[in-house]
Amino acid sequence: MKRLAPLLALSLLLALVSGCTKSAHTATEPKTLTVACCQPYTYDMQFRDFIEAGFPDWDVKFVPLQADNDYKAYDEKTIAEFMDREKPDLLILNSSDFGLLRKADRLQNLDELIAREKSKLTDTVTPGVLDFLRGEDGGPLYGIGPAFHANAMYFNKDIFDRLGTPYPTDGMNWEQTIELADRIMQDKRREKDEIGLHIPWLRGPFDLLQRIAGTEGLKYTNADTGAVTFDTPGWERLFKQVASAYKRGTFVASWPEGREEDGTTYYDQAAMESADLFKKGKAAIAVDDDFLLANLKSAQKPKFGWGVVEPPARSSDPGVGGEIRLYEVFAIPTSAAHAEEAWQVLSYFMSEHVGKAKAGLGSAIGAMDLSVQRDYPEWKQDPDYEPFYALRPTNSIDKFYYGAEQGPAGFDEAFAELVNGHIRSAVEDKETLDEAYAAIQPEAEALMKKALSDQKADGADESK
Amino acid sequence: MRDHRDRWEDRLSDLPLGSGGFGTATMKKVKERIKMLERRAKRRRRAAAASVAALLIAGAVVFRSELAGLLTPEEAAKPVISETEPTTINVMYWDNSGFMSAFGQPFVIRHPSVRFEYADYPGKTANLFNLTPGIEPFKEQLLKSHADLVQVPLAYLPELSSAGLLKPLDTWMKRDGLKDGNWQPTVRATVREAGGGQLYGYAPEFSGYALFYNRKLFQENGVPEPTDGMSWDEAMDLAARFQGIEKGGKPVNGLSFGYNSTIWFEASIIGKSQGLRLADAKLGQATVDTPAWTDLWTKLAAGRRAGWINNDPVFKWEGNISMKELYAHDPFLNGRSAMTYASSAYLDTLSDAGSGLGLAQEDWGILAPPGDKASRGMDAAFEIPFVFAIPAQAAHADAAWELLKYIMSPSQANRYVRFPHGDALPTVAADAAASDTRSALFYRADADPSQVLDRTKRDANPVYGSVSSAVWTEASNRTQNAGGDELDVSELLQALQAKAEQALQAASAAGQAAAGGQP
Repeated sequence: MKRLAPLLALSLLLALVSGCTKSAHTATEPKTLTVACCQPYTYDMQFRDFIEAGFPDWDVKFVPLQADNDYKAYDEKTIAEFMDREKPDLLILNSSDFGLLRKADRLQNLDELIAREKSKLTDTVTPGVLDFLRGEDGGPLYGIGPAFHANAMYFNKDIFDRLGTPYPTDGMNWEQTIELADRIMQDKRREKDEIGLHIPWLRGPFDLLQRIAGTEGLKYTNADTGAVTFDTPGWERLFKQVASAYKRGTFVASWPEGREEDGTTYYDQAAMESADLFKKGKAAIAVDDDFLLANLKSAQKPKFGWGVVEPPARSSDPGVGGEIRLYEVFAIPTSAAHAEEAWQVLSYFMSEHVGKAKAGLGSAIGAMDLSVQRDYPEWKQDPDYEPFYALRPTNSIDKFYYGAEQGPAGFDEAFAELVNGHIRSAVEDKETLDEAYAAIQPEAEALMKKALSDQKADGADESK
Repeated sequence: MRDHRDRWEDRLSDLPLGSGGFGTATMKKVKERIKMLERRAKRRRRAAAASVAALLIAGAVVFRSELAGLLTPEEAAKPVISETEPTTINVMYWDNSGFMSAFGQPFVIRHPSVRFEYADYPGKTANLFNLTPGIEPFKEQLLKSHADLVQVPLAYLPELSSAGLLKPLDTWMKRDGLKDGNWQPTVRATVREAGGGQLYGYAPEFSGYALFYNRKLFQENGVPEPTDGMSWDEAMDLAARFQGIEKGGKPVNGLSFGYNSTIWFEASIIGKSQGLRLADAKLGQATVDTPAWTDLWTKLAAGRRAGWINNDPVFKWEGNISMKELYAHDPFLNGRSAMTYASSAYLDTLSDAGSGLGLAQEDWGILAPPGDKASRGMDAAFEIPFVFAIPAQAAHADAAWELLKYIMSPSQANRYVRFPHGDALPTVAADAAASDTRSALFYRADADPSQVLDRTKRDANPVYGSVSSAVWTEASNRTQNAGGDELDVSELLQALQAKAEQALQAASAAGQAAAGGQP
């Protein structure tokens, strides 16, 4: 009893002082974290500087997901092996690996974490990115990232001025865009090598059809029933629009040919050059992503005046349009040993500080991308960035590219060939537009039947 | 613990409550009891208070620095660089995008509101090897510019600092609690010497030279290994012991100098490491045909003729050539040369070439370079290309200082080695270098600061530059077709001396040398 009070006083004193010491200095034990990401080069170029600046005393171990010179795609098994072997606390994933881990249920639900930590991290993120990340079903967030890519509509002011045609505006749909391109194409004062609308990397009329269908929310199959759904008024209107545009010459019928080799498509010199058509001043309008913006603002400025507006929007909902892509998605494994540290680093990357730093760095840091922070155009003091933040995307992390498959193996390719064939025959006056359109549904149904039965047969062969 | 006092209280508690009818005796006893308890409590409290006080005092002593931090009212430290308002820093550097990637990026990541502007670096063709367009054009450009941070070649630092054109940095260093103890010591001493003892800039990088040797070859051939800081005579004598030795049917050299080396190149770098000059300090007299140079050229010629200095002919190539193909022509990298003399940049070459060419990583060692007998162990070829300084007229000096502090930081040193540029080492050792015994050699490299400064100023002097250019061009012309013929060193040096004199006369006629050796 005699010694208790002094002992109490001592321990209280020590507790007080050490507690105060902790708040006067940063935590004394170094924190540790294992980050799994990308290739070493990408990590060094895009993330390492930020981590070292934000967490200078931490012991951060980096584990690459890919070697610098050798890309190997993961599957469910190999990514599980990676996770078990390296035990990462924080993941920085491409869309494909993110999809695998989400499917395997190995990622923390970030909505729950955000609620628990009373974080405001999603409050400042542009809504389109959040929509994209919540998937087709608008589910919980399992990943988020500081940067994204999106589309816009670019236009060559010089060409429009010369032809006295009004500039494109925000909120146009595809039909209006094609009409505008058509006006340019039909104008006799247009230079011979100038075109109305340029969309890079299209491999044929079907690609354009798919692009627009994606915006309009049209699908040519019903995933649940396996039916072909091409015979709808929406498709009819779209098909005829696109086919007649080809007939009128609004679109040029030759597109970059890609060489397929071992499943990878290589594009030759001509293809690469044609992708540059807008910057060369040869296209009145281009629907392209933010890489073009970075290109137009780079040191080699184009010789013509240009502007940028929102990409073509959905006719039934002008708040929807364009596609979003995230190449790096941050996620926290459910198995993370240092989940708290991982959360701190993830929050840091999603902070205003990092968004503003990106605004100051531009393309210097080796990644020409957009910050997901909604205020980014303001921080860049450049309204040209606004169009990328305006709309909710037509795609999502589940189906992140417009050419995503809608039918069983082999169907989509065959369907594309079928449609391209009919468009070409319409262009060449071998069929009328009505005939061309009417032929597709029944022929597609036959393709679907075959594809489904092929699938069944394969299934039967593999059954044990 | 119950004692007799407690039993007393029990008896008290037996009395009916609220009776108020305590007997006087009881009351007295109660009062006394209370007083006693109070006294005891007071004593206990005093004792407790005393021990707490003692502990507090002890604690205060132990934790005094932390407490000082807590108790001094925190001046709401206004950050020099605002979090919200844009801060512009104007930089004069030879390569804008290079600056951004080396220094600007990590700084903006720490201070997102910073934006960089760039002032033109003086001289039309500034590059890493040509930072010195002349002190007058440099001064002129500096004064015209709005630079807040400027890249100053070391050769110009003495004049610019003494002319009051640059901000002295010592006061700021002290104010912000910065020490230069982790700077490479020769860099530290030389930069201070250039500022007349004061600090006027920070040199972010340096190059040192070393003798790299192949332990295995020495051991296999029973030749004693070289030591730190030999003289060149000693190094050459050691190299000569490899005369006639072969490995795998190919000759083994005692000494080599990379790929595509020539005798005149070797003369120039060994001469530099011995402190030899082509003209005197006043740049009035050519000093090419001297006993020292004669001795050097004679030894080189003899060694090459005998083959213990590598004498592979220079090879030419068309179009592009890969580094791997070039490495194939470097005998040291291929394990066929006992020693090579090279800069700190050679560390990267060795690691890039790897063990596949015939030199295993554990087979080579590194020593302080050979030099003049009189200054053993010193690196007379030590190079400090430039400093970052803050012009006296800088509009954003405080922000520039924050940037300079970042450039000096260990964090930046660690980053620097991940993005090598210009083959130099960071002045503050990166963590990796601290634990690597081989790069540690460069972090202990010793050189005479005055000598480094003099040599740097001399090399930036356009008159000396014209002499050097004339001499080495002539040397190259005269020796490239020598082949196996014995080189007439005397004749060569007379011819080189004549060229040097011509260059000096031309400069004198142009009035440049009239300044007495000043740039």
